[in-house]
Amino acid sequence: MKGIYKCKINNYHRIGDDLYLLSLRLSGRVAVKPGQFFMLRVREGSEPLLGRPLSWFRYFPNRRILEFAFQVMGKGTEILSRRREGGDLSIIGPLGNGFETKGLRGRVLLVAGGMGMAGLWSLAEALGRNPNCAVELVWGVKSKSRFFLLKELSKRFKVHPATEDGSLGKAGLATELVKELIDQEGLPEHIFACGPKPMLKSLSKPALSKKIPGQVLYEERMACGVGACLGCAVPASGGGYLHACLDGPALRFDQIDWERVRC
Amino acid sequence: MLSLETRIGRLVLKNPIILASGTCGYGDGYRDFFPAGQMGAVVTKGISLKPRAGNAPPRIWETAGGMLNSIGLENVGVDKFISEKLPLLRKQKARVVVNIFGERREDYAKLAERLGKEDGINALELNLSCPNVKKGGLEFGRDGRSVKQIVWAVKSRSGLPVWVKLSASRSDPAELARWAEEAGAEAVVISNTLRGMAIELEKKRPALGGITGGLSGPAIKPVALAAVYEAARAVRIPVIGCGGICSGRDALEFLLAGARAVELGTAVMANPRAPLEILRKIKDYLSGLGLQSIEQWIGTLKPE
Repeated sequence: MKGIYKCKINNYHRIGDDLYLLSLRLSGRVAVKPGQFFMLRVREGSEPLLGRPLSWFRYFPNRRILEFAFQVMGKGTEILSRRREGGDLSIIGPLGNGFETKGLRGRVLLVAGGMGMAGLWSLAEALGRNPNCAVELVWGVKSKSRFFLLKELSKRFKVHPATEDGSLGKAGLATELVKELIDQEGLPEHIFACGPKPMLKSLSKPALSKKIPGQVLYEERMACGVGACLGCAVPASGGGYLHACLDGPALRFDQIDWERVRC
Repeated sequence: MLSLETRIGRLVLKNPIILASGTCGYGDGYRDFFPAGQMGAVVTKGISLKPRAGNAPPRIWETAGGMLNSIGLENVGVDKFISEKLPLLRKQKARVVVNIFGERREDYAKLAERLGKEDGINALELNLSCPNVKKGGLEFGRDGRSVKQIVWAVKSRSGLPVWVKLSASRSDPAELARWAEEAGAEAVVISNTLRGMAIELEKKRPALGGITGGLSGPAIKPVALAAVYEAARAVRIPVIGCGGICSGRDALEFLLAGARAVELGTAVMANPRAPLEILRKIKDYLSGLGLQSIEQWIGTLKPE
């Protein structure tokens, strides 16, 4: 159930270059789906004014611990990175439609760009429990200091890392690695992707032309997160706009008019 | 027992808190957080004759003490509003104000005629002040004669109370409020967002897809407050304050300056509990002063 949760900051640590893992203790239980998000009020008061939408990262229901992983990108996340353990933080959620995973089988490719891994982690865990699915991950980052929990992930899944500077794994972009994988091993049954818009846009080309079913976790600037302001417009393939907070953030490649997506 | 009832023309609101147009969807955007019926009234997203897709994203940009939006009046159009949205709103048992927008003067009259036939609408709010569209809205809200003509047309075609939403920027809002009053408007709402802009420096481009947008939030509160103060002294019809109200104290200031109710927008988007928190604060404050009615507070600002 969508709601406002007052949380205590349970634990906080740096997990990479400008990357943080925020662990919150919730006041009650929450039912979350992979791909859903929360609006985090990074601190009380009017500066910054708006909440920050973040995908949930991991959830431990027995301990009522909900985790978020984020990269410092601007003022909001910078303030969030300086919060202290034991402090209060209120969150609104879970919001939006998560990934559709019903009836999924066969080889499933998860493609993460940078911090996009935070949005796919819970999906990887869920699909990992599905005996009909073989999960493979492609994870591209700028440089190896931007990976987090890579070892833990690699123990459980087949992970193909890529770095733009070549400091770990394949040198290049995640999308280039995906193309190679498709050439060598054939088409996957399904693609899930989360990352910067240029990555998603580039990935939409093979996904649509080769008719690989797939979903992206679409990020857009928003004010309310609940469908009230209509701010988070996503160009829709049939014309007009979808809204990331209500229709998404998980959207199929073919729902989006990629030509009109501004990067 | 303190009464928070406030009269806006023919309409009695149970309290002075109104959800502003464009910030609560079609009036029920916050149903998961509080029933719309707990508010004095809710104002819907601006409704036009034909559906509008709205402006290209990004549509939201946070600024110091505020935010810019460039939604561009995306809405389902009046037909779908009546068939799909209004029934949901009637169930919420809220006072419903429908905000209407037209590119041409006659659009307002046509909208008034359609909406005047529907049950469950308590007033129409005319958007004559949106900074985010190329045609209509603000261009009519700059000129007293256009304001008068549109108000008159809407009033006579709908039979509903007419509120006029004006901008605190540009023209003299008190002057425009007088024109609205003369034409028979039952309230003026001041202010809409104020036109503003942000730039993405590294990308050397405007931050918003619509290039410029409307500024809202605490940053515009003093501008709106001054305009409300002046308009409330210039007209006898109720003035409704809107612009950066984020706390009970902010709301109390607008009421003191002469507003008979306040609209909340950005505050609710930042914190969905804000309307109920602000209402509680107003009650506590006025009860603490030993007042019996909010009437004893409205417009009692000392002259010096």
